[in-house]
Amino acid sequence: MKIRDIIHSRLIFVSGKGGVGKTCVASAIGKTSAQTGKKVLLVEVDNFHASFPAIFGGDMSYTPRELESNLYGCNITWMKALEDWLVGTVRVRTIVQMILKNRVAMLFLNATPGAREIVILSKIADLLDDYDQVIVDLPASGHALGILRVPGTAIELMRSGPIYERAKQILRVFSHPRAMVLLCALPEEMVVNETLEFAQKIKQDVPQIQNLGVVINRVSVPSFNEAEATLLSRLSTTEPIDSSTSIEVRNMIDSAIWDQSLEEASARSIDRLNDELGYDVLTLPKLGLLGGFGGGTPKVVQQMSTIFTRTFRMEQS
Amino acid sequence: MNAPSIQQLLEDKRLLICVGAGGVGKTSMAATMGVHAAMLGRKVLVLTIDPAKRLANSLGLHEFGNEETQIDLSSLGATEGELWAMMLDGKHAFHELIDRVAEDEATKQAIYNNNIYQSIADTIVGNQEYMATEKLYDVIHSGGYDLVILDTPPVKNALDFLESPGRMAQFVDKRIMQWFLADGKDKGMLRRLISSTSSKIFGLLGHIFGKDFLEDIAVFFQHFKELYEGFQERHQAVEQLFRDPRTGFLIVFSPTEPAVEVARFFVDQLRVRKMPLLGAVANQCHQAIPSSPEATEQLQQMCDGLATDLAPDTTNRMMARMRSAHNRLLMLQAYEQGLIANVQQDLLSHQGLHQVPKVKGEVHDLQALHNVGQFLMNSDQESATKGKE
Repeated sequence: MKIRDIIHSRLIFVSGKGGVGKTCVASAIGKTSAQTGKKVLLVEVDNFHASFPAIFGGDMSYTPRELESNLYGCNITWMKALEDWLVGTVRVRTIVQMILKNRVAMLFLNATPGAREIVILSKIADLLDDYDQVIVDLPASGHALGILRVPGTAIELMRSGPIYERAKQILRVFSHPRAMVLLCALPEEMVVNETLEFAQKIKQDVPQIQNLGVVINRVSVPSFNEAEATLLSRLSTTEPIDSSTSIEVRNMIDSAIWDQSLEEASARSIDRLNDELGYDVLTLPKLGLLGGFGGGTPKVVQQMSTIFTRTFRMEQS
Repeated sequence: MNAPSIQQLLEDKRLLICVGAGGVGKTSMAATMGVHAAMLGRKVLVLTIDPAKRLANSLGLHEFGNEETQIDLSSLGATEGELWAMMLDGKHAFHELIDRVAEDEATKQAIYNNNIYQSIADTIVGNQEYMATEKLYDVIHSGGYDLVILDTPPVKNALDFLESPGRMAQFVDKRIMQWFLADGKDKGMLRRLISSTSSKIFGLLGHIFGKDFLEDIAVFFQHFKELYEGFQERHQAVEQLFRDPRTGFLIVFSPTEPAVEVARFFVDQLRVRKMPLLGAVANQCHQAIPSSPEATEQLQQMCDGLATDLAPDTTNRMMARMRSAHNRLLMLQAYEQGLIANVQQDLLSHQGLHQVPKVKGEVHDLQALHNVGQFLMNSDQESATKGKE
């Protein structure tokens, strides 16, 4: 997969296992696209704790706000989206207020399976009209799948009415040739397993979305030469002579082993993903002072974006 | 008041619930505690959701089924206790539930064939949180175990799990049902209960959702009427169970920002809901020990001795590499301890914080689980000594 496939996408759903850097990757892609002159919107979905502010500062409100030149952000909350949706469907504001104020009606709307997802996806589909690119920072895998599956289920379930019509429209948006799901992964066995499983489920349950990409984050590049690897393996099996400092010595050896194991895990993970997906995944190196263990910062996002921009230019030339 | 040790919790409690973000090692931690509780002589059931297959394999199982399976602990030594494990299968558990509360075969079939049921089976049940609480009720009330350890699913919104007992009950809320039942066959008395505003809104919802859908719901509720009491009863029983003095929650987290955020959110929410939080386990902590000049000197000598047949610069390269890797490890440890201190701050004095180091390789056999458990038990002793100082 190429960076340009991502940059030229109209709609990108970003997901992956928790803590793999979804929000950073989504933000970095947004930055990169915005710099090519596109008008880009970053969306978070009904987050009880908005995560874009940690990167761009300020608040994330329902109404999109310009974060940087050409780059906008918003947090689509269910209640606001519902109000918008009702106004669009019922058209009379006083009636909408009547519904929103009726406890039983709200109980029903809250509890009806899928209502929440349809309303939020519907808002995202509307926003596509105003932007060249919309990037949705979805929740972690399982829940993301739940959201993307809803329009298909709703069509079977409703058979008529505004929700049915809306679900059909959302599926048309999904099947746009430039709509994609982008999964973030880490070079760890469990994460790779979950990523492959998720990719499989997306293909099966949301066949409308034709494009699926994978970014593997925090990759360690091989750096041990053969002699170093030999020495390290000898060190790991040798008892230090002076027992008074042996714990410290062991800890220093362990830190090098830790580095080595990250490099090996990276190579294994990339091979396995490429193999099973049938194309080359994108890779991002370890970034930041703690190599990505310290979480995402504005600086890390900037570095990711620089890498994307550089690769994008190379692909263009 | 001193925080109880993990061992005490394993000896005294009847239900332990592990909560936390995804990917922090909740399943391994639940299994580890299960192993240790069994070694302490208790009959334990670990309820888990979709564990890594390797974990199942290493516990001597091909795959967990929806049935309780006993794990052979003989490799760890003799014990009076027993360890059982079970994986939750949402759909299966939901069928079981319908079978139990439905009065007759006809009701059962009518529910199975209903469109709305199909959707609920996909969405609410696919939502494993709900089924976890359902199954929990069963195993606790069967009385077959001294201790049940529940490994909860990773939650997008940390609230999902705590609220899940009410989810189903919410959908089959009496007030919602009345709308539909009034519109269905039982016209008359119920109809009169509905105010004109409600019927107007009901009409609007019909417009929004489509008439077909509302008819399906009406039929669904018609059949569900009998089941309603059963659901409500369970909902209350599970909520009561969550607040029982012999129940306790343990927050599992790894020292990373997102996991710590979820952990702190749980501390807060459990307090608000008056659910008993017993403490937190910081899992996968990196461990670094500052190095003295003597240690570096010794390491240099070891390298020199071991690298005689290797390229001449190998020792220097390796020393530089180890210094830099070790420095990074020290920084990472300081950063992690800072995050852990934030969680510690939120805890009360009777809620312990236990640290478990990151172990080499993945935890996927009985022995590895047992070793991790040793760290958990030792962490108690460490905090006990610290308390005395």
